[in-house]
Amino acid sequence: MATMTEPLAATEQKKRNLVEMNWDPITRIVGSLGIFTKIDFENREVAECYATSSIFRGYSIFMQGKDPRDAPFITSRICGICGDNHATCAVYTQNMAFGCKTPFMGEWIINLGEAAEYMFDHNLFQDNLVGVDFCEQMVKQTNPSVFARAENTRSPNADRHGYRTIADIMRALNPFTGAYYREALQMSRLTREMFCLMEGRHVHPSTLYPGGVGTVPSHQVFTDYLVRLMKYVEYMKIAVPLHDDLFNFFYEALPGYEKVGQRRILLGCWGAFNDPAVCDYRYEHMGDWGRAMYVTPSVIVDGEVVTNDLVDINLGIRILLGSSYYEDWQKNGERFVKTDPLGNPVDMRHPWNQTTIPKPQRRDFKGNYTWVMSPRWYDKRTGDYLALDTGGGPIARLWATALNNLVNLGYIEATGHSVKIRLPKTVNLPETEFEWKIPQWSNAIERNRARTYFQAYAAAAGLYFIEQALNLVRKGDTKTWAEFTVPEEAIGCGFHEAVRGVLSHHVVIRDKKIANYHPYPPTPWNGNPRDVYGTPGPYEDAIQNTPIFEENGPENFKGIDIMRAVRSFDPCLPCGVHMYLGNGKVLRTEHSGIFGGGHATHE
Amino acid sequence: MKYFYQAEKGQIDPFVLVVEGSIPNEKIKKEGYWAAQGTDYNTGQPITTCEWIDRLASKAWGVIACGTCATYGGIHAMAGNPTGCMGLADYLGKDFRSAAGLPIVNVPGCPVQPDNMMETLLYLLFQAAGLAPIIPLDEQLRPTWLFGKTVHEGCDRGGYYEQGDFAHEYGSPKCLVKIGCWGPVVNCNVTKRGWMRGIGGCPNVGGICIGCTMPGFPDKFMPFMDQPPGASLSSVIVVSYGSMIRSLRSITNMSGNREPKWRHRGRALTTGYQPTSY
Repeated sequence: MATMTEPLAATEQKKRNLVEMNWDPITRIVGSLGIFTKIDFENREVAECYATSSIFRGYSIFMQGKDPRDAPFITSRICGICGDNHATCAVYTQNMAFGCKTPFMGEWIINLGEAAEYMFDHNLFQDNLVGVDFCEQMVKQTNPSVFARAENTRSPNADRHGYRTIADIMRALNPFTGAYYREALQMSRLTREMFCLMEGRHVHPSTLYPGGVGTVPSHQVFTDYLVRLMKYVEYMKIAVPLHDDLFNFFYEALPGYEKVGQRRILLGCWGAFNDPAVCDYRYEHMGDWGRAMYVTPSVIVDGEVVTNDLVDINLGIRILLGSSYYEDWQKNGERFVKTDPLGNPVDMRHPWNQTTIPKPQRRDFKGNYTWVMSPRWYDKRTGDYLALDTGGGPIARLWATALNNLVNLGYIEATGHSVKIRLPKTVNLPETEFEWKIPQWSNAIERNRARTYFQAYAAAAGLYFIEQALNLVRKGDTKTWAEFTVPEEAIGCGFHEAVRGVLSHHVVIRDKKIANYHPYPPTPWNGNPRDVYGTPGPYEDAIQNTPIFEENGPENFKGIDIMRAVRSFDPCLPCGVHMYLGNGKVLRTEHSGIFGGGHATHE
Repeated sequence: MKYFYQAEKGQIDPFVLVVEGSIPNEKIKKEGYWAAQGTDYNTGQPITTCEWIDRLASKAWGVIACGTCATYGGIHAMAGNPTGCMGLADYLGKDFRSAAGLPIVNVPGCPVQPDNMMETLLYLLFQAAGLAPIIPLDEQLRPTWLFGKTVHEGCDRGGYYEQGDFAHEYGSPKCLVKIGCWGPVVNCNVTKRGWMRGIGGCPNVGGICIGCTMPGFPDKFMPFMDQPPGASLSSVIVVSYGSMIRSLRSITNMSGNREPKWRHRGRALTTGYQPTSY
């Protein structure tokens, strides 16, 4: 199989002094991910890395036999931070299965809700969780010389964000005490209020149903949203230049930092924000309404769009078993779906045909050691099973939207090589335009940079959606929900972007009940082990190639470069993550805590 | 993880144990683990959530179950689930007492309403400091001031119910009882508290109540979009009363919407005052 990274078995096993370092569980991500590494301090690199997640609930099992109308309510509970992404995707899936279409007003309300979710979640993760990896307290401990340089480096955009030096930015990111950290917390609350205005409560929406929403559209509900949105728009005019200054500084101060978390450009984006004028939820038209989405779907390989057609994307999904606690279904499992509604054959390893058979067992790093399977995308051109990643979500969304050159809302414009984001005048700041340009690398810094830009993108999209919604209220077009009857037999699929990236749901309905249901969130795509064909997973590539820039030796090692690489993917473990990278000799074992409180202590 | 190990060794005392997520049944299989955190360095195997609860619960000053999964099992504990999971009181026993003699404190909700959770923690801090009496809990171990009333009793659409005026489609501002709302029989304060700084909620903003604070959730409330059995009876009764009362009210309403006749221009004073001096 053609992949850029060589399987570890083929690399030479030189004699190395390796120190085993574990972070289990990692903090400042969602859920439980344990990282076990072996560090070669002499050569300053990660020799081996192994990550495991350990939780199983069994949604695909207990949803069988239930009423498909309950799917959005149930699947929302898959995740406590992005549950509404699941609920939305489930609504898209049931709409297709039931043959109904959300009315225009309902679609704008859902879009406004999801925009608020991206604004909330990215903000919280970037500046209250990831930001701590770049704050004064952390950088002083891991790279004192870099911090000293930061004290003497003027921020290029100081006049826009007010932080005179890079060190000032780092101080502002200190957990609990930093000014920017605290402002970000307030913004998180504001954006959740926006979400609640559209969908009732967060994270599990109360007003989302198959067929649309139960929110009562009124001037009040949209005005309340708009007033808050304008505050967030103003905040973004500071956030974008602040993060650009911080991330560019790391490239400057640590030449070679582009290698941290770097991997081949293999990105997946399943699209977000339906255009109600085009989306009829019919599988036969899915290619067209996919391309009309306000975040364009794509599979991107080595910087080129392989496809932006959701039908092709759908048919290419394969679920492989790597080193996980399941029995295989390929030979004995039921084939639920032979062909899609267009007559294309559907593979046995496609989610429509998957059967989940859990087999709990002891963790064995040489055998099975995790609860997650290995999603791959089958590239018809080459026969490869591609280990796509989402880069945590924003980078893939921006990359796909930029390349496809389709989105143009005024507030947002794709150009083929970039995305322009135009924010209007706000209380204190003038009209501002930002341009996210496609970067050279798919690495930790660019994934993080894209996150702040996507917050601005979501805000700009929100401005467009609110205009559409207000127009409808003024015209008196307030229907938000379409009636439907649950069919005896049906299949459906939904494609959406969870905060962290690609999200798909696949349902098979028999006797008006769920016969099969398989959701695929982004984290299994990002973190999965070597599959049966030997293809390594994205985390594995990204971390194996990560050099160590931290100035500490084994006694005080924080593993900050590894942590920055992992967190750039925004791991969300309710979906489960695991990865594995090879074996080596252990010299000694250390257990290390994770920096996360107001104290500058290591352990 | 260091705080877990320290608490186990008695090095941080007192501590409060907050549990989130349903408690799996690790005994129903031969090996492996449904949910775990941290590694046991003697066996090299992950330490299960149940193991952590066994190690820490009886040493804690207080034990709080946060959210419906931890209190009663929740969504993951629905019929047909493979892990046999349950709530904390099912696992430790309803008669469990912490080191300070407290029962388990359940704060259900799916998810738990954020202010409900923080307020409960704050109450317990006051109690620990000797400034508040022991936290008042109902039979399901929920704080009584949070879960003593039903959703219906707090819902601002209750007036539509009383007038027999029901929604037949989602997006209507009327009472949702005929299209799936269980509010009349569910203990929860979300209609009074909203969700975030008073904004949002459930039936008050168009979301049918699915009973997510209740031990019977979700099975006893599914399928969520169907009319609850009791609602068909009560709505029939209230519709006849309601339509009559609405007509009577509209007469009074019309009257209240007309000013008294004596407010007019012109030479005549018809207010009832008989002037003698002008």
